[in-house]
Amino acid sequence: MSSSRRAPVLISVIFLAVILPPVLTVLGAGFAGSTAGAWAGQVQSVLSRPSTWRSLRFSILQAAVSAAISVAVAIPGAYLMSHYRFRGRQIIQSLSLVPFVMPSLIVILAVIGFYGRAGLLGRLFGGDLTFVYSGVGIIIAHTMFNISVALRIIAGGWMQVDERYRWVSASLGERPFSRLLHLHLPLITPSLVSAFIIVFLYCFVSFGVVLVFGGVRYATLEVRIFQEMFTNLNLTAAGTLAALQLAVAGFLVSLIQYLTRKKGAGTVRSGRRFHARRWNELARPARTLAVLYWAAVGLFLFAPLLTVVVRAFTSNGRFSLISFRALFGGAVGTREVSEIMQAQLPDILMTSLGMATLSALVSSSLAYLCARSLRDHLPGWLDTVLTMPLAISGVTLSLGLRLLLFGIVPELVLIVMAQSIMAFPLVFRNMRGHLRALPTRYLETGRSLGARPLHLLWTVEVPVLWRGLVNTFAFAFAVSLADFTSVLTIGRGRIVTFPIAMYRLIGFQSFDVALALGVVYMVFVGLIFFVVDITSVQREEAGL
Amino acid sequence: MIELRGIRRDYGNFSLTADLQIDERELLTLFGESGSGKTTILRLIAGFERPDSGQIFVGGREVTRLPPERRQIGYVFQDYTLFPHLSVGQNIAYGLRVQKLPSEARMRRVRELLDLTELAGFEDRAVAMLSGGEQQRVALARALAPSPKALLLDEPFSAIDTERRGSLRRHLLNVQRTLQIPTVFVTHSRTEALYLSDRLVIMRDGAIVESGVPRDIYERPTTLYAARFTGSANTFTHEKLKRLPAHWLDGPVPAERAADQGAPIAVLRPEKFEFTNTGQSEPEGGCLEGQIRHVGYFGSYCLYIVETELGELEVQEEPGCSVGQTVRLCCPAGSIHLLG
Repeated sequence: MSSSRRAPVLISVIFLAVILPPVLTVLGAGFAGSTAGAWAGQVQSVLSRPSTWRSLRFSILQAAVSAAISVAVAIPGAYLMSHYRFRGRQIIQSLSLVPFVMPSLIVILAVIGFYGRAGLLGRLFGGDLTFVYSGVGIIIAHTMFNISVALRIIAGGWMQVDERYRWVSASLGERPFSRLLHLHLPLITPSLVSAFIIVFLYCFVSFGVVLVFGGVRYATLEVRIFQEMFTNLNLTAAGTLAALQLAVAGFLVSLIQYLTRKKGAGTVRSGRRFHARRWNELARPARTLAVLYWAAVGLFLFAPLLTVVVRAFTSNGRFSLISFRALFGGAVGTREVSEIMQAQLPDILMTSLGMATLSALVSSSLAYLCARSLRDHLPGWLDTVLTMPLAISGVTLSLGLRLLLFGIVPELVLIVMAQSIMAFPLVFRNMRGHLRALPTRYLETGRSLGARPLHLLWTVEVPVLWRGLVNTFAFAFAVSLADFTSVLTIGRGRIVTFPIAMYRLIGFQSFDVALALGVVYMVFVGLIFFVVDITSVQREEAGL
Repeated sequence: MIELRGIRRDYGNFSLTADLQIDERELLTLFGESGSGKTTILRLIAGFERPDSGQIFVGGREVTRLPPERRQIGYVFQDYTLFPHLSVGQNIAYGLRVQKLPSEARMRRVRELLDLTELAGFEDRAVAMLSGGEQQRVALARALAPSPKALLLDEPFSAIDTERRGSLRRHLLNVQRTLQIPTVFVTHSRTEALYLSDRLVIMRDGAIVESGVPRDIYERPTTLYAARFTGSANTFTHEKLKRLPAHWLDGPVPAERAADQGAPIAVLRPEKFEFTNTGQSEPEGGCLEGQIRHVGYFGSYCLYIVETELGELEVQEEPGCSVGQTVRLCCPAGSIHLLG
């Protein structure tokens, strides 16, 4: 058997060997140390609680609505990004990612600050927009997070479609609207479906957002698992709920895939270099619409984040640095801020940075190895397997790792493991996209010239793919930096990163200091992305 | 020398079998329709694919299980795959660097190859700035720099303008003759196959159907596939042959072929036909009469479609006749070749 045929099997075996044990540990938690009968009784009692089914219903509902809105909003943007070259396209692409790499707590603060009680919108239009403290707030926050994900996946799919199809359609006299419906829509359906599934899963297992917004009424299964585990100390209930969540996620994803599968499996012909049209080839009314669209999306994504910045710098309606002074060694009321956060700011910085760097290194190197060995042949079933961490949920996975390895492996390492696994599906997708820049035959040429694989890695792969590698690393870094779930679940409060500190500040009702910390975080991530952008642009000018 | 012994490679819906020898100085062309397995043979020799069974020898050493980097075989891809982050000189030096050649010797070798491929002065250029033909020559130079034991070329001219191909072909021949290196060339251009090859190997559905000197295959093909693939051919069933002068054939029809009803058993190249003046007396041994249905003009000659009692025949003759004209067709003795 050649290595290309062995790789998918090997990778899936290793992958499953890593993710299954922690999951099974959680599912079977509580079984040990009790009789089968008692265990079954407890499981039944969990499943017969109305609150369980209410949570399940709410999980599905909010995830479906968030995913549908994210995909629908992203479609026009994806069309513009994939078909037109315009000033600021690159900036839009980078900016749209900003909410996604923000810790969920910042986005929550932003949503509350903008839409909520005494929020900007309320003050502008009067009235009390309390709806935000319900499912609506959750959906707004989820949509803010996930528009960029949908935008990227759909635009990526659209760019794969051979431009000549459009020429043929035009030459046959098809009108643009009919073309959109009969040509584009069927061709991009796979990317629409995969965007929907990914956003759906993200929201279905969402933790931080629901933890803060939902309260008891709007708890998702994910939040309930956490509560059962750490508040009620009921392992059996946590395991049961995790199993229910996994089963439902698996069922829904399979159902979507089944309903939308292609009959007669025609593959979209691609391979021709993508040809972007100039902005001014767009008709004037369409151009106006497009500008309005970007403005609306921009407002939706950034107006709330902007209020975070504004509020961090104001006190009693005036510009003030009081929150920042408190953050850098001050106090709120009688308590030191570092006491509230249970860590010093420099330590928080070092811990966050160190773990995110490690996680990003692990997940992007693994993603590179996988993407490289699967580049010519990624079977559909393997794609599903590699997407699994999205459905498993951070709480379940982190819990499993903790139950399984606590005391054997240091907590920091466990968190790095959890973060790498959680980030893997998207990092892998990202990496696969970048790998297209270096077709296999370049590597074959190198080998025919006598270069061994490791030598090729340094002399050809890394230099040619540099930009993509840095890009993917930065993405993985930001995702891990923003991680709240596994640090909270595994670290149990002893390990303090940005999001945990923020969580504590919010819990102590010192919103302004939390906002100041949010601003520090944004500046931090912004700087990293800026440096990445500059280095990769320089490489690009060097002829790459 | 390259040798493929009992090679099999199964892909489920396609399988390849090959037994093949390429001599020390030979330029061998693999020729056939797309999907016939030409490129697979190259990839097997280079080591990008492994055979399911069989052995591959290069220069007397078995390489079947060796990874590509240990085979010392130069490979040029259809789109050249020049490393985009390296200059022309660095691209050519890539394999020498791998061999850890001292920089002095490396630079000397790079200059040698730049001269050989007529690229002197291009050393520091970025590869993106080169024309297709120049890129192709850089790719050739890069493949040859580490002094490989064999050279494999996968349709290296297919992305080049037709008018430039002529000089590049001559250039390739010069280089190959100078270095005397066994070379395998894949193409589906008839002109390239006939012009370049010392030996032509015709492939179909994953198997070698015919192999020989281009002129032999062109003039005396064994299979109809080879006859049609190497050029235009008028084909004849036994029925039709019986109505033609017997001495036009290059041999007697074997009994077993005579029984072959309806299948073409002989071919005649269009340029073997000649028009004889209808006013003159009929040449000895007889001729065919027909009417011109279509004239295809190719500059120095025309391809005429002539309607005869045996059906439509293709005739290559000097320009001058026109549609509707009645002509007499003759050909020298032994012009019609019996297949098999």
